[in-house]
Amino acid sequence: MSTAIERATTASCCDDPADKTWGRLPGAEPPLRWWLPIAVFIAAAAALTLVILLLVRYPGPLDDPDPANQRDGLLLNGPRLPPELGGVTFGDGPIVLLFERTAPNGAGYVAWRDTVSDDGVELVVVVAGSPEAAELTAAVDIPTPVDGGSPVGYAVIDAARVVRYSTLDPMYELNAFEVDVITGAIS
Amino acid sequence: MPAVWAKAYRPLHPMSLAVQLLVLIAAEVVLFATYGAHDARFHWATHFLVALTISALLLLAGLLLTGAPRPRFVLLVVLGFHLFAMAPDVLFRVGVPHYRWMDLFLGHITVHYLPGGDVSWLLIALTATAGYIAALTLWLRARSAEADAGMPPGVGLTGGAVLRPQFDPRVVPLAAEDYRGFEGPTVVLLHGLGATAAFWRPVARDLATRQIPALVPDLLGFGASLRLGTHFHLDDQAAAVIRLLDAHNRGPVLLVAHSYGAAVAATMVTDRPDLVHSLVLVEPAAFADAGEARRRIGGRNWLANKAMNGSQVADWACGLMCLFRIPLTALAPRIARHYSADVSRDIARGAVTYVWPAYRDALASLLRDNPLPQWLQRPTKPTTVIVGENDRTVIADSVATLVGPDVRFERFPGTHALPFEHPGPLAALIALRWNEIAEFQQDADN
Repeated sequence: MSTAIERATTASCCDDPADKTWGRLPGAEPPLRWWLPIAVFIAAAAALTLVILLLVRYPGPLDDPDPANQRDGLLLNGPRLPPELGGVTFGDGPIVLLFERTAPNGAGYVAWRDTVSDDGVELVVVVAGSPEAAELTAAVDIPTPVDGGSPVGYAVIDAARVVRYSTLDPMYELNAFEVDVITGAIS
Repeated sequence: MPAVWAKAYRPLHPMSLAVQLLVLIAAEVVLFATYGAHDARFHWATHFLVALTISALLLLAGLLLTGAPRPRFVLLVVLGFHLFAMAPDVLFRVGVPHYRWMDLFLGHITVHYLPGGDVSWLLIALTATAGYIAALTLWLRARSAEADAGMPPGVGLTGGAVLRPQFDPRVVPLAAEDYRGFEGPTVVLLHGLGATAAFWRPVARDLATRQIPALVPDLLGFGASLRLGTHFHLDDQAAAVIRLLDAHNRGPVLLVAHSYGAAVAATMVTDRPDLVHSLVLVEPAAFADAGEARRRIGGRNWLANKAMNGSQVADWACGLMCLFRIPLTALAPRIARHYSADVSRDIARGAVTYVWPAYRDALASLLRDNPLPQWLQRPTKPTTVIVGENDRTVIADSVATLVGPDVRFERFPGTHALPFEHPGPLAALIALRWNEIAEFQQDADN
């Protein structure tokens, strides 16, 4: 014959369906050893740290010193440009000013140019070194890269001559669609 | 390995975790490559780390509030939050530029401006995840220690019990206030739900002035017995009281119990009739059926109502209360004073000093296994029932229909708090019953 205490540690546990559902049964071991989450965490934390430190590209010489400001995708309500500046006429429609240190060429650039201008957007390449380039660079307020030299990136000016986007992007050839999104949003 | 996994352990099913980990890694590799193709790994990293931080904090909150790991697919939570956080980038890909309101997606715009960038987010994410892993590790250790001791693991126990094991009530006796040094049988005073020994303290002190010894325990999971036990049904509570009496070498005793404590008393006397001479049941939680029990107890307060209906909201609310037990214990006397001037500081503190499963199991016991209706009909020990005429939980007229001819039935003016509303008259009546036992024992000795 079982004692009251024995029944309290066995029978009453199994009478309540909630006990079985929740695993509140005498001697029911948790399914994981206590050290396993720590071991997995240490391995995962090490792997993640390596990925973040080694595989995520940190600002290079042509990038914005603050990565947050580069290609943020936010439309600006920037400065309003005069109708004509640095040899470029503004106000007839959206214009993309591509800032480069040397005149771009090659298949990557051609593909980028074709994508950016295929919907009638005017593209102007501004190569550093001329007084006009300096004038345009200052007017669109494009950031100075890490190396302190001329910017490589682009600015988008709408039909009202307002600067709506201005970013450094040394890898711009990879991201023609980004320019399309910006010009599409302001057209 | 069990064929059917208990609900609390399903999120830790090793095979499920392994599959989730593989899915998470595969999905993140694809996302990493997609962002990388556009020279945007920096964005992948930020949003992943933010998602990891939020996931870790929510999983930690879930563990602390419910006393068990959840939800079911813990690792997929990270992937879900990552996909949510990067949603504006998907919109951008289909032609929608970014806007400030997109911060709704886990701060999609603003998170990039944290000083230190991804390195800062990495440290934050690892710290948050380490916090969750530490809590989960302690939870696993605590539950393992309980299981190794042969106890039901304390899944669902919140507050400090998340991080440390409960004591085995077969080894550690109930905490009790012992008013001793007097001759004669001991009066054992059992409290009800949401109460502690403090509930009976005014009566025990009154009895002490009459030279009557008293023993006032905190039931399992309540008051100073907070860390005792992981399972709190009537059998558990009765067994714990029996152990206490055996440990103190007391008995037969005059067993006095209030409300839910009366159900414990009836269970105990059925299990060990030799330990009890007679009973005084004050406002016993006796109801005609489970429906009336639900109405009466559920009508007491919002929490009891939710608990009676099995609502998970009650679990979360109580988890929150247990998490903030220390400040709540300090605040309770001030809050209680607004409702009743009779409530002492200790009684008010006792109202928030319990583990939630103790309360929930007690309610479940009253619905499923309440021995009181049967006991009141045909008690096997002399029994006196006292009810408050203004008690809205245990209705005097309703209890009157349940008591058999052998039960002495008394009505007191008062509510469901007679032990501290009218300790003097109650102690006088208990003293009367105690004198009967003392005289009976004297006669037996002679």
